Amino acid sequence: MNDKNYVIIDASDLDNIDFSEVVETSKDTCVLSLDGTKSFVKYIGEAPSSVSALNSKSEEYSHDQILEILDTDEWIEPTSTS
Amino acid sequence: MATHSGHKIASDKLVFSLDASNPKCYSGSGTAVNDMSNRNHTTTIINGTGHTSSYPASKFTFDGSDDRIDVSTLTGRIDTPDGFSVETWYRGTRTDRNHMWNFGNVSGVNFNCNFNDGPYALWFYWEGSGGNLMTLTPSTLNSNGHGTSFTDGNNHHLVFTHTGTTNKVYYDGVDISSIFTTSGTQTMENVNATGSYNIAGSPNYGGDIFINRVYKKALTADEVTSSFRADKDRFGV
Repeated sequence: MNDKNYVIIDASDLDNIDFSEVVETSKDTCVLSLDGTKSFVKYIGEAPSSVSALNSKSEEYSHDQILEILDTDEWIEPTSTS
Repeated sequence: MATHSGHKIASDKLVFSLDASNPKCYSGSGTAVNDMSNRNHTTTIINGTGHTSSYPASKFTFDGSDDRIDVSTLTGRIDTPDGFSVETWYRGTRTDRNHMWNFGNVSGVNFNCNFNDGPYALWFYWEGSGGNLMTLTPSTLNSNGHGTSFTDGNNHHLVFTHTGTTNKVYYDGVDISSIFTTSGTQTMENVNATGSYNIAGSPNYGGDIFINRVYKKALTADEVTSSFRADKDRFGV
C-alpha cells in the first residue's frame, strides 16, 4: 500500500522546496507537466514546512488520485502512429 | 552466471544487470545500485523508488508517479552488429499508460517499452514518436491465450530482441512476435540512449521490477527459454 501524499505545485516553486523534506531526489528529477508550468512532490504524513509554505499548491492527493491526474493530457503526450 | 534447475541465464555480451534479490546489487538502503554486469554502469534510485527484501524474490517497487532507476552511463548507440536485447522479470500494476524502460529521452533516437497506450496493451516504438513500432492489442493478446494485459498484477518475463530488421518479443517463455503488428522501419540504426537508459521513466511505470538485463546481442530463442526456465519457479510462472 502506498501511504504517500501528493501535491501539485507551480514548477517555479521547485526552488522553494527543501528536498530533504520530500521523497523526490532533487529539483532536476521532478516530473513536469507538458507545458512545463506544473510539477508535484510527495511525502509521508503531514505536509512538510517547505510545502506548506507555498502560496500556490493543490489539495493533497492520494496515490490513486495522482495517477489519475498524471494520465491526463496536461501531463502525458499521446503517442502517435504517424 | 547463476544456474537454477539446470538452466543457464545468458551472460554473453551482458552489458547491464539489475537483480533486486542480489545484495551485491542493492544493499537495501541508499540510492546506489550496483550493475552486476562487468560494465559497472552508474545506477541510481530516483524519487524514492522502493525496495523490498523477500523470499523467493526481492523487488524494486515503482509508484507510477515519478519513481525510476537511472542508468546514467548506459548511453550512446544501442544497436550493434549483433543486435541487442532487453530482458525483464516484472509485475506491472498500472493499468493506464506507462513505460517499463526507455533508452534515451529524445524523440527521433529513443526506444521505449510502452504499456496500455491507447488501444494497445504493448507498444514498442523507436526513433520517433511512435511510427516505427510493434503493437499488440488486448484482444489479440487474449485470443492467443495470454490474457488481456501485460500489467495484470502477476509476475511475468518479457524479452525484446533485435538484430538487423528482425525484432522478437518473448512473453513468459513464448515467442509472441508473430501476433504483433509492425510498421515503419524495423531497423534500429539510430537508436541512441541520449540522456540515459532508465527503468520506469516517464510516463512512469507502476509495479515491481525483479530483474532487468541488457545485452549487446540478440538473444537466441534457446537462450531466452533457458533464462526463463532458470527463474520461472522462483517467480511462480
